[in-house]
Amino acid sequence: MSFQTPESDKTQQFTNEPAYKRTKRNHSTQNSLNDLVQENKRDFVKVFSDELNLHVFRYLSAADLSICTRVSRKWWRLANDRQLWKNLFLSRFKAPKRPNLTYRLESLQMIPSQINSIPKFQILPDNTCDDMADEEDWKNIYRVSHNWQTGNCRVIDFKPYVDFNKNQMHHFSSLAGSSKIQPKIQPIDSFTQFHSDRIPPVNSNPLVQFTRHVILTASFSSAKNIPEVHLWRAGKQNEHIDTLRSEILYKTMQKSKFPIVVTCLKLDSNEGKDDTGIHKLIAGYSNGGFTIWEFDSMERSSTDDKTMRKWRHREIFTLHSSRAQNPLIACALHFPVLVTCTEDFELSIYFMDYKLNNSAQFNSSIEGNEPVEKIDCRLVHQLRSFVCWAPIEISVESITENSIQSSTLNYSSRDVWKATIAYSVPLYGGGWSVGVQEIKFSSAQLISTRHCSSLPSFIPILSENNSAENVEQFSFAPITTITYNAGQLVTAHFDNTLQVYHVLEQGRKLECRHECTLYGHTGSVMSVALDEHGKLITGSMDHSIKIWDLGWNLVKNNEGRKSKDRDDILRLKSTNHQDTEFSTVGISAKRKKHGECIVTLSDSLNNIRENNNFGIKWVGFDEGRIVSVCGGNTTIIKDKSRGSINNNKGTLNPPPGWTDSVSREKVDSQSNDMEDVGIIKVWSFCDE
Amino acid sequence: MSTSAAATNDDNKKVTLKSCDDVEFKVEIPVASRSILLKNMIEDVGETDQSIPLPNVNEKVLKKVLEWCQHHVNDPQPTNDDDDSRRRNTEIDDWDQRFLSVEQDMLFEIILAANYLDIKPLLDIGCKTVANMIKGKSPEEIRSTFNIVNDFTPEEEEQIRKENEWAEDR
Repeated sequence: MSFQTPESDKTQQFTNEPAYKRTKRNHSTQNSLNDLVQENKRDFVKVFSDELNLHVFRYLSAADLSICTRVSRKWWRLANDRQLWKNLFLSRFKAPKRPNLTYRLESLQMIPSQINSIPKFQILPDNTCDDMADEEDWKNIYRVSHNWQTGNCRVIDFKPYVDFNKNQMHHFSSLAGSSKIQPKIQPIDSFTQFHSDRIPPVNSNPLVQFTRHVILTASFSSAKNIPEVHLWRAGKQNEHIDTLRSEILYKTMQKSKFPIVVTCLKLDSNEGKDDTGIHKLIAGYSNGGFTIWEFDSMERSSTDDKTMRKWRHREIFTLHSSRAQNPLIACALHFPVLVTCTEDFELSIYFMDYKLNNSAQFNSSIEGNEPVEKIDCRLVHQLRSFVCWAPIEISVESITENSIQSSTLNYSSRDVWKATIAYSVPLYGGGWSVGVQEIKFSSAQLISTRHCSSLPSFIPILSENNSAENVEQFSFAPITTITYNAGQLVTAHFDNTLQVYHVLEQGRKLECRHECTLYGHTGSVMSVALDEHGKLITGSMDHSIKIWDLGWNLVKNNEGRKSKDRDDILRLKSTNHQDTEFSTVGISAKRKKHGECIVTLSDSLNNIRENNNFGIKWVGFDEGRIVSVCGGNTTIIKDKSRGSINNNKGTLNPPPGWTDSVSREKVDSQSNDMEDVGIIKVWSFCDE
Repeated sequence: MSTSAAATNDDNKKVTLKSCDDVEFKVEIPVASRSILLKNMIEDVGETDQSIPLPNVNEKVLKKVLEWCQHHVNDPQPTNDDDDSRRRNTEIDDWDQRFLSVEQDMLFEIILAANYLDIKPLLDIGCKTVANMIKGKSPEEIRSTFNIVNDFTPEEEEQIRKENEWAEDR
């Protein structure tokens, strides 16, 4: 057949040969002696049945399969087979309770983000792919899990107020009337603070929340001097999409001597599984009042004009101020239940009822005067504590009737809620631990309260040689932030450590058991987020975000009480018992120790590392993304007097051009570092 | 050999297999029984002098497959429940490796025959061998290994490359 052909011959051949042979020839120039063997080479994929082909592909890793998709169309189809990816997933990860693919679906509705702006081309699938639609996209599930495990993500960052205010600047510069304001950055050394006066700092992290589509931040409003919540969409435009401000508060605010700021911000934790895109949000104010809004987190084109984009919101309830005018430091909304806590630890439980009213409606509703349900908010119970210390975390969940019937009292009321309040507890002799108050209540009354705290078995200061096991159980440094989810409690301390506790029911008693201490951060952890599967994300002043595994990948979640689950987990671990149903899951379970840090995302894009004030102040996450906020202003309250509290509780500072002369007088300490508004970063592990 | 009396009886009995190109092979029943298809046939039909036609297998391939069956005649029958462990294990023993060091055509024919004759262990090592030819290669290397024509446009290929970047080892 072909031997070394002279150059001239080759060119002639090319012109005569069909296209496919030409490409072949290109390779054969390198090994033209092997041409005979090449004749023997065959694309087995075309010879074999699909079943046989998949049998071959079953022996390939995810990396190899991904390479295979690039070989040819037929290979692309086979290597994307969902059963292959399902097997790969199950051999590596814990089976998800409910594989979440909402991202995939949503991405169609969203405007493509910066990175993924290339329009997707269509590969016509073979007919075997037709039934794919109603099956889970296992490759995508695998991919997202893989990305979480390896820290493979895309980062979008934006500085919301700076971008926003480019447009607003000229408008307000005349108002401010002053010369150019020099940004002055005041790094706050938390250690100095904590060692010098030992006043536990009040958590004044940036107030941020996020849903799938929208990031919410709280700030001043310059023009009217009333607190506002801004809605942003990170992505191509990084645009400001909506502003929530309470009209009711504005009307009553005129009488107030001090500016009112938002002091806590929380999304409704009782969001339906069906993603309607409607979310509820509560903002607590420095005067003890609060507002609940309902907002539409998705763009909806109006029926008349398809090009018009609408972001709708409405104020559904506002309490303009409380009697005592104490700032709210924590709140939790689990519609229709609201729990708030003031700075002096007055806990209020509210219940919301619908009542029909014609006045309230979506601000941008074109349809007009449809009657809209109005919400009536009534105080069910109020509790006071003299022992609580900030920071405090409130979490509310509804609990089933069954668990209540076991108690001696029989309540006819249908629904019962459980509020779990976690707060820091100073230890005698130094150090900080955590206390938990559990309150069960119905829409009408309080049912029960239980309390527990995690105290070390001995007083640490009395022990000369602190034995290692006990020293681990608490930290001498004050708590910076607390988070609680489904029985797991995590506290972050100023000494860069994290403490993990399990809150569980022991008979009729509540127990808070210290589980482990997490080390690794080299700066104070300012924000912690935890989901019910045990995925823990921490954001620290060392500019890094860490992803920890507190059982997230270890054991599949059983139905039933979470606390029982936890016992099961402990037993499983101690006896090395293999879970039978997912025996193939062992690989990751064996590899990943409980409480291991899986991934560290370093915020290296930030050039101002040496500036302590630009650490990560807030983190939040969902199945596909982490949202972090760095920068922003952390204000530690030294002066306990009312006026300064009102001023300093401001979280995200007024951005440039946002403070008018009046408010600048009030918040004098903040007006100079207005540049310091924080950078929002979105770390995406999935398709957007 | 070291088998029971009944089995020894079986050992002596032979069955005739006929390839598609009309070549007959006289095979001991235990050897033929490595194929679940033949095993069931022999059990159903009982003793017969008639040859069993195998219309999907030619002489060359059948000879090769029977060589494998002869070598593995005393292996334990694979059970169904260890399906998964079978998959995880990508190792092939030395004899099998040498046995499968054949041209691609032959390898694919062996896999097809093993599939048709229902010889799971042979099918597995065959597929593993093919998978090993894929592992660690670039798409271009895979194409030249199996003489595959790239039917993607450059844009499509780039798009797929981007979509699958995440899975690459680093």
